[in-house]
Amino acid sequence: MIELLNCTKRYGELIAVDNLSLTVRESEIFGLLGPNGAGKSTSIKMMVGLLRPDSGDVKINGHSMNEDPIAAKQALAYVPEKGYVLEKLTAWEYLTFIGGLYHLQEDIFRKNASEYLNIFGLAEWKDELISSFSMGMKQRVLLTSAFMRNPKVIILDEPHNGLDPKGVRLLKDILFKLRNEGTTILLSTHIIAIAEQICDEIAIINKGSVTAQGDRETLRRYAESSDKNLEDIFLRLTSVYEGPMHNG
Amino acid sequence: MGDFYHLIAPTVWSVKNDLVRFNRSFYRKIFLYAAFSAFFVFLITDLLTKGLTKLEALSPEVFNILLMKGYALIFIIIFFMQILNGVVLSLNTYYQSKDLEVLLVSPVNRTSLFFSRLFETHLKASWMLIVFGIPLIVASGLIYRASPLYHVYALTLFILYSTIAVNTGVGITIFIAGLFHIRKLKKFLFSTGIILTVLLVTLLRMLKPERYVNPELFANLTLFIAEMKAPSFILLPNRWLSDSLFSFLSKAFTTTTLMYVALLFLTSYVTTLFLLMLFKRYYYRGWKLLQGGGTDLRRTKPSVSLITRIAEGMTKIPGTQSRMLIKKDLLTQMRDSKNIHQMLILFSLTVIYLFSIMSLPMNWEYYSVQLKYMISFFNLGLILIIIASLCARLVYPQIVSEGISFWIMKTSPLTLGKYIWTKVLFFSVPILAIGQFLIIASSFHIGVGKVFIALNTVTLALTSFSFVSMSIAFGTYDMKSAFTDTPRERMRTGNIAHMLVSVFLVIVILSLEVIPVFLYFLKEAQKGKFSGNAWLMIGGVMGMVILVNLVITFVSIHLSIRKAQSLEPG
Repeated sequence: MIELLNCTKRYGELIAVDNLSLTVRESEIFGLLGPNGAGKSTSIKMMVGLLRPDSGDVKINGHSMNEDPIAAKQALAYVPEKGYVLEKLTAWEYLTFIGGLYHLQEDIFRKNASEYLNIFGLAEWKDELISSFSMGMKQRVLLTSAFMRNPKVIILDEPHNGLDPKGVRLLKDILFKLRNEGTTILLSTHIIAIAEQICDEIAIINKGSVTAQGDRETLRRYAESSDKNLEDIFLRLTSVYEGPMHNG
Repeated sequence: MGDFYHLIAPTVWSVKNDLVRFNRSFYRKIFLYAAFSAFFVFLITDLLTKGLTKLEALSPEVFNILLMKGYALIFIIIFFMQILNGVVLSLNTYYQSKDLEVLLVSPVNRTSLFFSRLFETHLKASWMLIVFGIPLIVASGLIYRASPLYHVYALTLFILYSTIAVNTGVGITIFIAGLFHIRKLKKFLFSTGIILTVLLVTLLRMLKPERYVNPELFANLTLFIAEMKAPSFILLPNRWLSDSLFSFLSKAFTTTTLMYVALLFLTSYVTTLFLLMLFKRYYYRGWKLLQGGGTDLRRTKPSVSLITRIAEGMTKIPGTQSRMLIKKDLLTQMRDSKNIHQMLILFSLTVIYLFSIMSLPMNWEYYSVQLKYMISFFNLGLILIIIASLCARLVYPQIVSEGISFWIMKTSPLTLGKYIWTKVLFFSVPILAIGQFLIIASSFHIGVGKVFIALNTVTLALTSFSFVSMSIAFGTYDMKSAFTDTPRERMRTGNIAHMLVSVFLVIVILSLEVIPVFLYFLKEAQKGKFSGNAWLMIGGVMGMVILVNLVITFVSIHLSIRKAQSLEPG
C-alpha cells in the first residue's frame, strides 16, 4: 500500500507538489496522469525516497519514509524514467548487486533473476556489459531488477519508454500477474491508451495537486462528459488542449 | 564569428544565470576557490621569494643563471603537464560532450565549432596559469623589483606558452581519434603512458638529482652550474619563455629576446592554424568512428581476469551490502579505461620515485648526518604529495561519477553511513598499501633509525586516511553535477579546492614533523641518547598528528554522510 499524506514540495518560489494526498491499495494498478510539469515525477520521487517532502509524509506498506526509510525501501521496487544502469557491469553482475543491496536470498535471486531474464529475452545477454545494450534492453534490465525481488510495492515512472510493442505487451501481462498476486503498483505514463487499458484507478494531477481521481467511469462523470474517451477527459480536466474544432 | 558567439553563449549564460540568480552553491564554490587560490599563490610566492633572496646573497651572477635554469626546468614540467591536460580535456570537449550531437546536426560553421571548443579547452586548462603561473611570475617580479609592465608582459607570454602546449595536446587527440575508434584510445593511452614514463625517466637521468647532495660539486659552484643540464634547447618553448622573462627582468632586452617573444607569438598562432587544418581533416572521421561503434549491439563479454576472480572472491566478505558495494566498485574501476591511464602514471611515478631514491649517494658518514634526516623529511613530504594527488585523481572523480547512479543507493534499503564507510574502506586499502610501500622502501634505503621509520609510517598511514576521507567528502559535495544529463559538463571546482586543502594538510603535518627530525639530528650529531623530555616532545608531536588526522577523517566522513543524505537526485 502507498500513502501520500499531505505532501508538499517547493523549488524556491515554485510549488511542484501542493499538499498532495493519495492512497494506492493492495492488488491495484494505479495510474498517475498529468501534463508536463504537473508534478508527477516529483511526487514519485518523494514516494521512493529520492526527494524529501517539505511537509507531509509518505508511507510504503505502513512504513513511514521519514521515520523508517530502510523498512519502507525494503518493501519497494522503483523503475525510474531515465534510470542509469551501472554500465561497466554485465547484466548478471548488476542484478547480483541489486540482489545484495536488498538482502535477497541466493536461491530466490537465482531463480527469479533467471526467470525474468528469460521473459524479457535477455538470458543470452546476461554476461555482456550493459554498456553495449540498447535503450530498450537497459529498460528490461531495470524491470528485471525490480520484479525479481517480489516487492510488495512497485513504482514505475514512464516504464514503457524505450520498449518495443512486444516489450509493452510483456510488461502489461507481468503487471496484471503481479496485481493479481497482491502487489501494489503505481505507474506514471504519457500514453493514455495504456493507462486506460491497465489501470484500475487513475489520478489526474495538474499543478501539483490531484484534479480528479477514480476509475474511468468516475472520471467521465467528473469531467461532465458523456461519450468521450479518456484522452478527451484528460484534456478537459487539465485544460491543456481545447481542440481545433472545439465549440465550447 | 556569429556562430562562435552562439556556441560559447551557453557557457557564458550559465555563469551569468548563476551570478544574477545568486546561486548559493556557485558563490560558495567561487569564494572557496578564490580563497584557497589566493592562499596558495601567497604561499608559493612567499616561499620562492624567501628562497631566492637567500640564493641571491651567494653570488648575483650564479643566482641569475640558477634562477633561469630553475625556471626553465619548472616551465618544461608545466609544458608537459599542459600537453597532457590538452589531451584529456579535448577528449571531452571535442568528442564526449553531450551537446555535440545537437551541434553537429545543426548548420553550424565548422571553424566556429572548432574555435568554440578550443576556447573551452583552454579555459578549462587555465587553472595551471592560476596555480603555478601567477606565483612564479609574481615571485620573480618581486625579487627583481619589476614594474607592473613586467607582470603584464610575463602573463601574456605565459598564456602564449600554455596555448602552444594545450594546442599540442588537442592536436594529439584529434589526430589519434581520427585514426582509431575512441574506445581504442585505451591502447593509445597505454602507449602514451609508457612514452611518458620513458620521457620522465630520461629527464630525471639528464638532471641527475643526486648531484644536488654531492658536496664535491658544491665546492666549485661554477662547475656545478656548468654541469647542470636542465633541458633548455633553443627549439624548446621553455627556453623562449625563461629567456624572454629574465632578459626583461635584468634589463638586457636584445634582438635574441625579441626573437624568442616573436617565436612564442608565432608558434601559438601557427599551432592554432595547424590544429584547424587537423580538425578539418580528421575530426569528422573520428566522430564517425565514435558513432559507428557506440550504439551497435556488439558482444562485449568482459574477459575473466584476475580482477574478476578477486571480485568473485569478495563473496567471502561478511555483510551482503558492503560486499556487493566493494565488488561493484572493483569491477567498475578495473573496466574503466580512464583508470588504466591513471594506473600507468601511478606506476611510472612509483618507479621513478624509488629509482631516484636508490640513486642517492648513501655513504652518510662521509657527508653531514643532517642531510640524512633532511632527505628523509622531504621524502615524507613528497610521498604525502603523491598520495594526495592519487586521491585527487582516483578517489574524487570516482565519487563524483557515482552521482549518475546514486538513485540506486538512495532508493535501496542501504544506510548512507554504510555506503560512505564502505567507500572509505575500499579506497583506503590500495592508497595505504602504496604509501606504506613507498615510505618503508625509501626510509630503509636512506638508512634512518627504526623509530624514525615507525614515526613516518604511522604519520603516512593516518594522513592517508585523511586524504581518502577528504576526497570522498569533496566528491560527495560535487556529486550533484553528475545527477542529470545536462548538455554541458558543469563547472567543478571541488578537485582544485581538494588539492589545495591537501597541500595545506601536508604543510601542517610537515610543520609538526620538523620537531622529531631536529631531535633525531641532534641525537646523531652528539652521538647521544634521547632524554625524557625529547621522548615527551616526540610523543606530543605524534599525539598532535594523530589528533589532526582523526579530526579530519571523522569530520570528512560525517560531512560526506550528511551531504549524501541531503542529496536529491532529481
